[in-house]
Amino acid sequence: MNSPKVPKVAFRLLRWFCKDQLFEELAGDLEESFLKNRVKFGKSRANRIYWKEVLKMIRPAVVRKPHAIATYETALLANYFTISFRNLKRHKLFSFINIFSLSVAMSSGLLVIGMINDLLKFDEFHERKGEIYRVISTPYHQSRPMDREATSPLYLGDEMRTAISGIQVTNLGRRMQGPISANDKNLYIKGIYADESFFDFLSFNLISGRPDVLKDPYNILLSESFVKKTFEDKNPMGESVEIEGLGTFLVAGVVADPPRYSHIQFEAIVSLSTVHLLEKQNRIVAEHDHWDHLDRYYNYVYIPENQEKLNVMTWLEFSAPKYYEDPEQFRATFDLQPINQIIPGPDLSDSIGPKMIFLPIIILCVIAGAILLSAIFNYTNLSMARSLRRAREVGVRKLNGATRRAVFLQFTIESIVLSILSLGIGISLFLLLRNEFISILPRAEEMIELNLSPQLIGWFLLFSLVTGLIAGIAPSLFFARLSSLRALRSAKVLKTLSGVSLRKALIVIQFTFSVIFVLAVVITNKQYTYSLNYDFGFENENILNVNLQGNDRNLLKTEWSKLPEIKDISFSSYNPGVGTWHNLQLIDQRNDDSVWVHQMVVDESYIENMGIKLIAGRGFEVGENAVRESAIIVNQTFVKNFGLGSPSEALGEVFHVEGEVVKIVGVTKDFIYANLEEPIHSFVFRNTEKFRFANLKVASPNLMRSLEKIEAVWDGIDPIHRMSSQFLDDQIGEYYLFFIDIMKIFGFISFLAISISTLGLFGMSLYVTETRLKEVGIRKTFGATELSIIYHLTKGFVKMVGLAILIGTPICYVLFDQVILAQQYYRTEISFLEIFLSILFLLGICLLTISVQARAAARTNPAIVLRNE
Amino acid sequence: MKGTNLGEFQELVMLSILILDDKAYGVSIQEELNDRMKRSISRGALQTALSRLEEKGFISSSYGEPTAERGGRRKRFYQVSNQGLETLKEAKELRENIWSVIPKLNAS
Repeated sequence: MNSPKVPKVAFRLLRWFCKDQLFEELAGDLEESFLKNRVKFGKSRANRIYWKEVLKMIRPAVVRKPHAIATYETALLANYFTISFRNLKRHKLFSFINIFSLSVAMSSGLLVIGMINDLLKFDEFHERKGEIYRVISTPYHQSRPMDREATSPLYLGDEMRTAISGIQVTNLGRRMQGPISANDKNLYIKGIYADESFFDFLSFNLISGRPDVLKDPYNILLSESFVKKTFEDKNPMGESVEIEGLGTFLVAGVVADPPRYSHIQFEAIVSLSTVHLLEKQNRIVAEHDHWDHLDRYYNYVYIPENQEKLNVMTWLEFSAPKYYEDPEQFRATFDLQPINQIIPGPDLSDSIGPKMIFLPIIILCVIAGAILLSAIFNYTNLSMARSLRRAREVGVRKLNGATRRAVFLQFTIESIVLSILSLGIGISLFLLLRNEFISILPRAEEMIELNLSPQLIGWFLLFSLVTGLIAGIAPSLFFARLSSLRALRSAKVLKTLSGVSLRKALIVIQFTFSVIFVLAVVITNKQYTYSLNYDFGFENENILNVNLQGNDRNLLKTEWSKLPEIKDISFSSYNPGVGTWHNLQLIDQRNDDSVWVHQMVVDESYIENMGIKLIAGRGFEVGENAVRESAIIVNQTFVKNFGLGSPSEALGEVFHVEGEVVKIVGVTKDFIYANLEEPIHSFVFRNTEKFRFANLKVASPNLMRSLEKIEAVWDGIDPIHRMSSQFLDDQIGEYYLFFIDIMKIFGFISFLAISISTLGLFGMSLYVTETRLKEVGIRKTFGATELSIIYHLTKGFVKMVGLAILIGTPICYVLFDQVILAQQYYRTEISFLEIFLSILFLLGICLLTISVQARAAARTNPAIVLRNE
Repeated sequence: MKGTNLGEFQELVMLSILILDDKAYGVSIQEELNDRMKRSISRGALQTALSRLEEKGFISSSYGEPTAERGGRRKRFYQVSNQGLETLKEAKELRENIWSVIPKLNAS
């Protein structure tokens, strides 16, 4: 009948779905055509055509109808449910282990599903979401690609508008923020700049006022909730508000709060035209009219029905780069990003709101998947191990005429019932854990809520159905295939066929996951301690950093110096070791090359105050840079990278900085000015007046008391602002706190993984020892000692766990060594000791679990077990 | 009522069966449609039409002898029934009637 020449899989597929009465005709026709095609076109094309024909057969006229559910079948279905519940009740331990592990594992899956569900809601509220794009850019410095940015030059929008007709563009700017006084109230406001096209295609609603007020400078639109906070019932229109550092604004309208799932968030919108004036007054950094400045403004494009999309893309690719006069030095390329693919989206710097990139989502998915698999394996394993008990039932069923399908259905229903029950508990766990989960993920509280909506519950149900199906497939298939004769014969035969190797493999996989998670906790902990104890190259104890907030530093210095606790005071542009660094363009006098280096602006006392070691030359002298910048101090890496020879040889070398000629007067030892993720780069200390922080060295037995005194001085000078200060070592500790979060996550997860797999192991060893009780009895009567029996019973399991360790350890090592710790430039090494200890820990838990069973078995009286033989 | 209407494709299939006379089975009908009627259709699509026509009673079928090039399977031959022939004729007459009353075509 069946011919070897036609594609086998396709043929089988046809056999499977085709109505019996049509099969002979259709298979024959297809084969005849196939032979003709093979002569005409050759084998591979004939194969392809055959496949296509088979796939096109999938239509109502050809596909067999599913069996209509007869009444007796519904009765059977009801019976399956009854049996499922009875079994759950009868085998309490089995049910407990499975429901516990499945519900715990599911709760982690539910958290991830809830998170993804929330993230996918982002920017779906825009009515024209399919036609709105953001222009994103990739800057190149000296042809080297830099981090991709969510921003693009402000001018790009104007040029694009004139170049391509039929599209609309709106420009936004970020960092419109500051203390605000409105209606005699002092608050802090965060908002955006936008031009008058803002409301044209983005679905934000203006409650009062007209969109075109955004044309004129110093107009502000306040959000509804902000109006409620400040003006309460008063009409805010026409009132004026003052934002510190920016000026006085006229309230020209009220805008509805942005929807929660919008990547653009604001409490106020200030007209973009204000920016020009603010820059002129030097209130904000002049950036808007440069093609080179890529970190503040956004272009959103509306392309109706995407008709001009190709034009826009071509323009961005070919025309826009022409605006760069010196592309060798600096240029940027541009791309369109659909508005609803911003969150979750690619990793772009300078995002306008919160961001969520793919990597953590993928990691969480993988972790939740691993936990869930462990629980599924428990079910599979335990059901198969139980096969001895169930086999008789299946045998009787089959003898009475149950088909394979019926048995399969029965066992699948059983696993689905179990997984739905687990879902109930899983959802309660989800509700319990969700706030903790949100607080652990960075900035997640702005993005996800994890509210139970009908839609989400639908996803959960689907999820548990699929989980049940996967968990049940192996046991269901096993029982469905079981022949009734073999099932009813002796237990001995069965033992060999109950999928021992599959079970072993599943246990090995489970424990591999456990090993990986335990090692993850240990390694993260080690990197955390390593980071905190790393020698940053400066003193971080007892240094209090105070944000100057624009106050006169000399005044503060003289007042503070009067306090006896304060040993030294210096000033700087930012605080080291906590992930900040500033760039500086430097021109090398020798070859006129301009090079980007990192810089920090400090005063004369900084280097000494911070305990940074000078290895050549001197520190800054008072007043030497006052009129004209003339001296810089560099680090060792600078000397090395510029090839200046030894540190003392580097002294006196001359560079151009911002039009001034400066010379190296000192060289410091390398220190961690940014963070441990980044390698130390060429670094320059400058001595201009752009300070933002005062660094107070405090020596006192009672720091709290001193802090109060320092604050009292501040309040005397600046009664408006509260002093904002923090000790440097606290800042650094906080910066590396994310390791604690990672550890919390991994700790929780490894706890789950270990408890699930240990429970599974416990159940397995229980069943196995039970089936071997007679063997143990016989061994004992022949004089085996308790110890040798325990050894005998645990041997197999220990082997499996050992194998898991052998597999898991290298995977984990590579994962951390190559991927996760590779993010840190200065990092700890993973040593043999930690690995050994965590393995010992895991092995201990397993041994304890198994040996409890084994010992009980070894202690049973053989007379009782063997009485009936 | 369902079953009295004749779709355009179904009509073509019946015409092909008539052309092929006593050699009308799956592959030959498919080829006839491909060659003469310039229609590239899959065997599955043809099956839909054949089943529908058979349900309506416009065609009938019977098995032939087992054939080697078909893996020893039998061909199923189709014939147009009298009722089918009537329907075809009716369809043709209906069209001719309509054609004859189109003023633009009759004027020239």
